[in-house]
Amino acid sequence: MSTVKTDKNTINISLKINGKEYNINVAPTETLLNTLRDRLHLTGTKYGCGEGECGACSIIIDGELVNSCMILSPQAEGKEILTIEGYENDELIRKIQDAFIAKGAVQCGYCTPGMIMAARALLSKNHDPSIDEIREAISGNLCRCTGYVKIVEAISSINKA
Amino acid sequence: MVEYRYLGKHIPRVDAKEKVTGKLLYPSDVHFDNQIYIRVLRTRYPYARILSIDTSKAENLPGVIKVLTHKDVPGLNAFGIATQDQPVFCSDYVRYHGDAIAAVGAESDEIARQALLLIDIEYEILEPIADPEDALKPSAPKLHKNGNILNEKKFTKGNVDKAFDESDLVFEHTYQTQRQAHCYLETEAGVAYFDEEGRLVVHAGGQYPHRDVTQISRILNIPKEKIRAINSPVGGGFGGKDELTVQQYLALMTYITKRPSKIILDREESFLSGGKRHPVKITLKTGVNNDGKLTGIRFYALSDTGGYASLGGPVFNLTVEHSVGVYFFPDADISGHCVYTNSGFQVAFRGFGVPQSLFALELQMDEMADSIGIDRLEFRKINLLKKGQKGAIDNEFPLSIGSLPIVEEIYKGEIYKNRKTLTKSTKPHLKRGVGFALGLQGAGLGVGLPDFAHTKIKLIEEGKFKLLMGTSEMGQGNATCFTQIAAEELNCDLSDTTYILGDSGLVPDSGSATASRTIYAVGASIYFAAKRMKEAILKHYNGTKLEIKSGTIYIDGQVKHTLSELYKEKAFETTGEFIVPTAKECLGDGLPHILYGYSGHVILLEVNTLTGEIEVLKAECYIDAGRVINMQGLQGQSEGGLVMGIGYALTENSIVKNGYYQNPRFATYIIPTALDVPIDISTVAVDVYEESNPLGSKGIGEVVFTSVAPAVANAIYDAVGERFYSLPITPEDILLRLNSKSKNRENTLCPQ
Repeated sequence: MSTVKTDKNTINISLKINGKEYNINVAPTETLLNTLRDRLHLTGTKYGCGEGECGACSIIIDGELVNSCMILSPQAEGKEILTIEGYENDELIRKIQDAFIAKGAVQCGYCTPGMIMAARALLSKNHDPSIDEIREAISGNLCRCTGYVKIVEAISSINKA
Repeated sequence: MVEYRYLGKHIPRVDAKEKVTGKLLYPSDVHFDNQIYIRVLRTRYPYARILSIDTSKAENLPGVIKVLTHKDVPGLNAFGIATQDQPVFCSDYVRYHGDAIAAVGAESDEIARQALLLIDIEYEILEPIADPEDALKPSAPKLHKNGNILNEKKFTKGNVDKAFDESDLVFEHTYQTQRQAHCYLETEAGVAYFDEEGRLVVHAGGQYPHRDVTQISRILNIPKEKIRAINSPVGGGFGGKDELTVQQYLALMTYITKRPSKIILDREESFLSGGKRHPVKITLKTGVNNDGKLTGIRFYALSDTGGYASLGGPVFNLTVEHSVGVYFFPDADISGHCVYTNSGFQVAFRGFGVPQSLFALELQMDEMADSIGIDRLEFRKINLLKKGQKGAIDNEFPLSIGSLPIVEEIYKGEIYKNRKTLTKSTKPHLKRGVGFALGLQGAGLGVGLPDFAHTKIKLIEEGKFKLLMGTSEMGQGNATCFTQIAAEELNCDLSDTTYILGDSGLVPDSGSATASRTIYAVGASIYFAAKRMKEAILKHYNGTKLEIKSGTIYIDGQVKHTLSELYKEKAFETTGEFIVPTAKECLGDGLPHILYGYSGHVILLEVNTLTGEIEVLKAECYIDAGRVINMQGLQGQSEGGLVMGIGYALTENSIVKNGYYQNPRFATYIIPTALDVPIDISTVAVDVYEESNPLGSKGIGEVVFTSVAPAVANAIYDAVGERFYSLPITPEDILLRLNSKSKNRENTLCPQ
């Protein structure tokens, strides 16, 4: 993962993250993951592979699940960016978080924020997904600890109470 | 029967809230404004002699603060948990694809990466020892000064040749297991800085902070008191972060530059530089009589530790010790070598050498049962090792043995009971099969190795009991279990406690988070600390029964004080200790264990004979955890271990060709996703109580994995009638085998 500290050769952009506007200088080739983590210190979004294979850096842009390591920050200008830190103003994320805690869907927790964002993207479009739809929706998010069972159970329990 | 408030219950994790909110700072999340960014120069060659290292161009790049090489190491330029043979920075030879030669510290990550390209290394490229068999040849170059053999074992019991001569049937096959990558989601990462007391703090993903301190102290040649290691939380470890990974670079960079430093390995670098599970080739000969009784075993294992030792020696010990699995063989001849090669570098990994042995043995158990016409489970049952009988290396089993209760539960399980109907295929090209395997895993470090846990409980100003444990929390759930154990004994709310884990500057030494030992040893220790705390409070009030509700103390039903008020009256601090019991006699090199956890795995799967694809449909996990502390945590470990085992059986293979890694990425090294695993997984904790532990518990972090792969392989045989002797078993393997068979059949039917 890459970090740019120098302000030479940077461009000024505005990003709207969790409802808040950030005016920042970034390198034109900087990934949104690096901007989030290294410039804005929003470290709930995790680095896992940097090439779109693991989903640890999953965030939501205009309602769609995105690997933030696969998009450059200037490309995210003018879009609504939602990260795990946005949970306080997002009831659906809070519901998913509560379900993850209750069902034991968290172990080391490193994949958890990305997994929750994947669940949020699914549930915002499909209020009552089937088990297979849930498995499909989180299949881009790797977890090495849980075996996925409790994550699927947690997502499945939401809106069914 | 005693009714427990917390023990044995589904208790949500105490650290879950800060994990689901993204607030918890992992080593890779910690940031300092003036931090130095570290990048490590790793060799592209598996084996080469270093002729020269020129860092001058890199040093002159603006923004570069320091380039470290072997010349900058003030103390021992080597590390290794058991054997210190791995250089911090190579000076004369590189021994595996990924070996470290230099590290750059720069003002930005970009500059550090650029600087790596400016370091000139002149090499004499050497022919690597790619294969462990080549490492044993007299003509092979010596990779280390004592040669290429890291560990050599030979144990005999009775006369196995005579046993084979007298057996009704004898079987012999060679099995090969592969190199598995840990694939923790957080790569090796961390920061270093100086704390307010002037100590060098190395905060990185690790599994034993106090041992990190020891290793760093050797490298820097400074006293341990000047070093503090923080190892918690960790984004997954599984054994792969037991050894130093990045701590040595962080420590050196900050020690020399006096500035905070930070490192995060790229995933590819993690795959290349990180240790893996040992590939082992096992030749297994077993004898059996027509009555179903096993007669003898000859086991030879050749294990590949790669370029360096790390824990390769002890890992190989367990391969040998667990060669007979859960069974009794009257006669045995157990031997093998663990050798250095230039194929990667192998370390501890959940299972610690045991899954390799069980893969061989559990496949052969099925084959023997089928040949003599006995039910596969019955065959296992009649050969189970019982108390009083001796194991592979003439070792005793004085403590609880969970294998018989596991077999009894498997009989009652849905898959075994309904195996005939469950394996009916729905379409002609879809073949279903059921397979099972039994496993065990030695717990603790063995004989002669210091294996203890110290913990502490303090009553603090905020009116809480603060639990202090040296253990790292890598996701196993031990913080939750320790909290439950203390709260149960103190009869308080879980919220009346708080904890610190894995910070050598703040907590006592609880030993390593390895060897399935934390619940057993550290859990026992915190139990004793809590018991003493309870006794101290009761003595203070001269009472007999303590209860604490939301911070209010009740003695014999009467309200006394709040915990905050009590804190002002008197300082309360207690310690707990536990020493892991070991065998009386050492059979060599730390062997044997006396405490074992047990497992049984039952798998239902379907093979598509047109595509070779394998789908695991249903799985049952039977675990001997002794008394369960947290049922939710047990299920979580069990499900995670099962899925990691399915990956080991079917897809995962870190391929090294002539010393070169071939697939160091998630795109090419395939671990299971949510679509690749069954959702129908059940976990049964069998009823066992372990007397040597005050809570009756055992660890389960490894045994949940050890017997999965052979159960999968046995189910594949059950489905398609083909036995696969090496891992992983891929769709290509299945198709090639099935196609070659059908071709042969066509040839016989239609001679040209």
